[in-house]
Amino acid sequence: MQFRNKLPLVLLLITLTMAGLANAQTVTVIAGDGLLVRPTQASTTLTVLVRNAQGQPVPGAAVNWALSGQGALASTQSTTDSTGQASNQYTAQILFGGNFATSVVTASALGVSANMNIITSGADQSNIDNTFVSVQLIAPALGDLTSGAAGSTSTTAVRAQIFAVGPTGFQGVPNVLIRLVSDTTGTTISCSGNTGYSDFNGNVNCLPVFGGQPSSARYTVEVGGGYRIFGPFNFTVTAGQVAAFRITGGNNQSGNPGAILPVSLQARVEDAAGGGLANIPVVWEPVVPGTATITNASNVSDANGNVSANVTLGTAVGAIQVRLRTQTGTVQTLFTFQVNLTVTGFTKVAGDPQEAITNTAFAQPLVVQVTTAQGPTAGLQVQFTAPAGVTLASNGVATTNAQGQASMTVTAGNNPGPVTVTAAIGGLAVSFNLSIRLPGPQINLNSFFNGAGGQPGGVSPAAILAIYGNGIATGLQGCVTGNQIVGPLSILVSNVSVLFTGAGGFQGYAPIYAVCNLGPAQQYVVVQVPAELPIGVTSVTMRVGTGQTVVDNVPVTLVSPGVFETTVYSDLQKRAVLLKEDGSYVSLENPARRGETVRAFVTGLGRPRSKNGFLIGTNQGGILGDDASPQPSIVVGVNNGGVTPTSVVYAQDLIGVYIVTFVVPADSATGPNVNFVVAASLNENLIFSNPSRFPVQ
Amino acid sequence: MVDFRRMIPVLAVIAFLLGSAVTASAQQTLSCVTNGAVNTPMRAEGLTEQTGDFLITCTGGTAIAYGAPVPTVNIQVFLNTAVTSRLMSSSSTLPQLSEALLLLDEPAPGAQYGCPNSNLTGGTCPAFGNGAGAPIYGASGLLLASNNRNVFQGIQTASNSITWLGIPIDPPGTSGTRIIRLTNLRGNANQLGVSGTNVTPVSVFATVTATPFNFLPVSGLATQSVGSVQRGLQFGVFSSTSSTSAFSPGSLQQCVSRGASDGSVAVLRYSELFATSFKRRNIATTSALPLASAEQNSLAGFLAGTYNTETGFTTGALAGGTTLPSMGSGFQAIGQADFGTRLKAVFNNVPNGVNLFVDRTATANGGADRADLTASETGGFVGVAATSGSPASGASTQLTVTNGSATAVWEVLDSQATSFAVLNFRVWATFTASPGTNSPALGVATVNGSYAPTSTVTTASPGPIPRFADTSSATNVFTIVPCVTTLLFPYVTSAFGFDTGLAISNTSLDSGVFNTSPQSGSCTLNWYGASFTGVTPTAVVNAGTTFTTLASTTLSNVTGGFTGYMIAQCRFQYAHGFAFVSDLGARNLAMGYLALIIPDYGLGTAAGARPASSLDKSPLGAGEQLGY
Repeated sequence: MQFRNKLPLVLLLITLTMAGLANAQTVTVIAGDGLLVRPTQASTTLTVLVRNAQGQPVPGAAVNWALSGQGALASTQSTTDSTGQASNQYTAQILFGGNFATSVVTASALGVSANMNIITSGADQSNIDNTFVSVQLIAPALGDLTSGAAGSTSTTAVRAQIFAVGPTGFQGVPNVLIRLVSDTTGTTISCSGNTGYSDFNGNVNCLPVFGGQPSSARYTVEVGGGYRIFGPFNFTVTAGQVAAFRITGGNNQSGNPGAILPVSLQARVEDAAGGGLANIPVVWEPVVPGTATITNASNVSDANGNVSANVTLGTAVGAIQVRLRTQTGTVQTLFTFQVNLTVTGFTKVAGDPQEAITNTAFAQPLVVQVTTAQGPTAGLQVQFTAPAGVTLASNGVATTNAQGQASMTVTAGNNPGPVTVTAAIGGLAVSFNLSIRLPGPQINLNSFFNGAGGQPGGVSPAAILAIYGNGIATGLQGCVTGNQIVGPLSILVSNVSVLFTGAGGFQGYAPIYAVCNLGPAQQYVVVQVPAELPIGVTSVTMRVGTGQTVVDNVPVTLVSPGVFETTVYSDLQKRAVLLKEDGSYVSLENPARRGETVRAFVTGLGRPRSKNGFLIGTNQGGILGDDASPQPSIVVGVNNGGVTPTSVVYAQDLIGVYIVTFVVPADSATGPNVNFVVAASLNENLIFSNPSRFPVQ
Repeated sequence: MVDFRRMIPVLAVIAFLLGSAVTASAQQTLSCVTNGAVNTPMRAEGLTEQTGDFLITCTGGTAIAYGAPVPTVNIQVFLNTAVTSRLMSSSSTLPQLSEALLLLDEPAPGAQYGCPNSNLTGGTCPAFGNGAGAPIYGASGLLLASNNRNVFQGIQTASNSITWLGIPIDPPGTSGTRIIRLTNLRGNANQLGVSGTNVTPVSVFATVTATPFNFLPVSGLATQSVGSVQRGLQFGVFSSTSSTSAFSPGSLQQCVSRGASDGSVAVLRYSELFATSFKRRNIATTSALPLASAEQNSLAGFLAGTYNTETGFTTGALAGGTTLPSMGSGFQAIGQADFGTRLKAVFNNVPNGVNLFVDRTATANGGADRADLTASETGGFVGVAATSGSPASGASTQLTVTNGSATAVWEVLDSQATSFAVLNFRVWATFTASPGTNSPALGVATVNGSYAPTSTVTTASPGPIPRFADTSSATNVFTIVPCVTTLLFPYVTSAFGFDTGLAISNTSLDSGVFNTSPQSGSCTLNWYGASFTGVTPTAVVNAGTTFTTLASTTLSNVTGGFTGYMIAQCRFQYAHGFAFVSDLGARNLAMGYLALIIPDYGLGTAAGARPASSLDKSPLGAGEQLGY
């Protein structure tokens, strides 16, 4: 195969294709084609319209004109005006000796061109006004009425023959254009397509196309741009077939339930050609009955095809539609509106206030109740907003349920502190006051110890209690005490507080002796258990800064004795803290002696009651002159033998501490570590303190 | 092979000999030429326009011997349009006898002898030679030739053709010429159309054939131009008889009565586009004797152009008691016209309650041209008397308005062919204002002006003659516009805790004071504000009542309230407005003002634009103008 021979053809095709793409512009003849002129006629205006590839008129384009045939053009080039049109003048040349002559004018611009056929009639040399070209209008006849629906094409043609009888005998004159010219603005009649041109035999069969407003009017048949004018003839344009409703106003409005939309619904009834159709019966109706009320509605289109209606919105909220249709419903269009919500009430139902640990979800969803004029309404969207870092489900949009409630799940962010979450709908808003805290201390049921003896448990009214757990004193080194040397204890020390919650709605903060961090696993807080704490179980809420931990079901016993001990002994062994009558403390170097009266410090003997019957409260010392004592009987054990204390008195200057005074038995064993214990007698059962010891000499 | 070059001289010799033979025998050979055809201006609107006569002049030949029968010829003429000469029968089924005539040898009145026969009705009229080819015609006499006839009635054989059957043509020999005149040819000029510019007329051609040809050998152009079609009438509406500027239809206010003393609302102007486009019926027709009639049988009259009437060649005075097969009678006789040129005005959409009057007569050129109102479009002329109390002191007549339409027809009774006639007819519209009953109705009346009678019969018929195509188009002639008072409320608010009370009083009820005619109508409130621009209507505000509202009530749906201004258009005069602006409850601030009255120029008209200055005090018939 010889591909080389095919290459030029391919290139040609490519070139033509490219040329086609590049020449999407058009030159359209506005006036000049199909003209029939007499030799003596004054110049005739030729006009073309130049459009770009997008179909827009091109101003300032150079249009080149060329003439093939007889006659003359006024210029060879002109420029399009602001509307993209350019004109030239054609002057015919006197034609003797021929029936007629056809000239072709070519207008070129932007690489494309259009041709115009101009026919000049021959003339009698003896009388130049006697032109050879004649026109016979065959139809219509005078008085004929042509009618049709707007947009339709008549099957009854306007027929004419353009012919010449001259030196060359009878000849049909082709390419002459006839136009139908209406005398009524807005009611049109024209030749369909190219049916207005005469054929080779000079015959024209113009099929009228009706348009515009329905009306009776008149038209003239203009042949060859005015060579002959026939008529006028009557024509009537009737209402065409409705092709569409074109919405001209009032769509996409919004309003409150029951409101009259401010702008009327407006549409134009149009035929297939886009002409307005008058007197077309129309029907307006809401798509969903009851969602809107139609008033002042046009039952038929006006002279311009326009219809309108007013709409009163119903009570249904949201998008509603009104249908405009023909009586048969074959053509319709929809107007869409938004019925605004009328929120009459907006309240919080649940979730306010509450607290959550950082990066955790709040335990309760935020629940709001939307009350509308329409009653509980499902499907309304409530917008929740929260500060950055706080996460709202579903981008903060919650939808009401059938009860009109909307629920939103909130997740705390990294930053502790108060957070306001706002819910809004219909111009109303409510705020939820939430709190984000850090994680609380790590305490549990095993975290509670007697504050004196250190044995587990120790939760009894007025007792001194130690609560151990990581996170209680993070960052603290050593201890922070809670008192001011004198005076009551603080309930918040080093951002630590301990709340006891008991039966009967009891809540009481525990006075704090100290908050300590003595090393690993040595973070604790020493508190006085509230004296009023009911016996049974309690919930202990420990808050450290913004974090908190709640331990429920902590047993609360009537007593939980504990003997204070110290390691200040010279051998650094822990022994009971005992005070002699001379004010000196028992030590290895100053041991208690047999028969000597000493005082021990004990806690957990229950809530003290004074001799006069006053119950000592939380964070209180003993009553001066009205000694308070534990309510159960107290027994002291020395060297494994019972000793009845000479007195057990709630210390007047020490909170939660009893002073147990006893006499060292004369037969007590001696030595540095004589066993020592304190017990409370409850229902003939002894509740022992921590086992301790002290030196006896 | 034949040597053609050698044959050329031979052929030339033969041709020469043949030419010499023709020339040599010219004295004995009958020769006829078409000449002298009269190219007559024809009205493009006309359906029965007279064409020029077609003449055939014959010379030579050998005169028929004395007493010998003259050979007959069938002569047929074709027009390039429909022949619309009157058919002398009630039937239009062809063939039919026509008023078209063939005259031999230009007979003068008193020497016109009609042939009573035709092939259509049985036989022709035989003629006999007089031996000299001389034009001898008559109705009696001893000589056979003295009974020859010279007036023959034609037969319409096709829509565009007239035929004369059995016409005796005696070659004139050396006696002179034999002239054949075809007259009373009318054609449908409208069918040929008109050139767009109306400058170059469209020709009407007549073509003649003769059978057998050797008895009437027509040479030269058998086709002659016998007419030039151009528009004959220019109709226009003007504001006065002297105005030449474009007409603006008057806006007549519904609430202002118009009587006979008020001026005309328009002038209908009918102008000749060529000097003989308005023609009286007959040379005897005058405005003094509109029904007078006379014979127009002098060819000199046609040739001199002194006739210039709608009537053609008449045969009411044939000599010797001769007749034609179908003569007709009265104004429907051969050649006669039913009436002179008529001018018609058709008013449409005349609002109910309006009385229309038009001039009965119009003259031009010092009275040489005149047209008078006649009672009907197609009937004979019947003058119309003035209506009692009509405008212009009896010069006008009221037209009967039926279903909003009325027609006036004037007939040209005097016409002058040497001048252009311009006939102006005034139009008056009167009514008794009753806006409360919407009388007169609102609307735009139109008028169409044309020749008359108009017809759609485009081919030959028994009449009427003349008749015309309706080439008119509608022109607005006057408008009944509503009475409106326009009130401007310059500041209206229902926002920011304020509200505006609005009141519009219809003060057209003042019986016992001015006795103004009460009016009623609704007002259209046009709101213009940043939050809302729109229209709200009011209920009808009857005379003597006050419409009140609050801006907040009327514009209850305007979110955030309304602040702006409002223009109230009330469909009655004497509206006055008051506004009261206050905070809610009028506890702290309150003020009131009177609405301004915007001068009323008549809404919906070109002159209805809002005047730039409130000091312009020339509204169209408005009521009060108190807003300055």
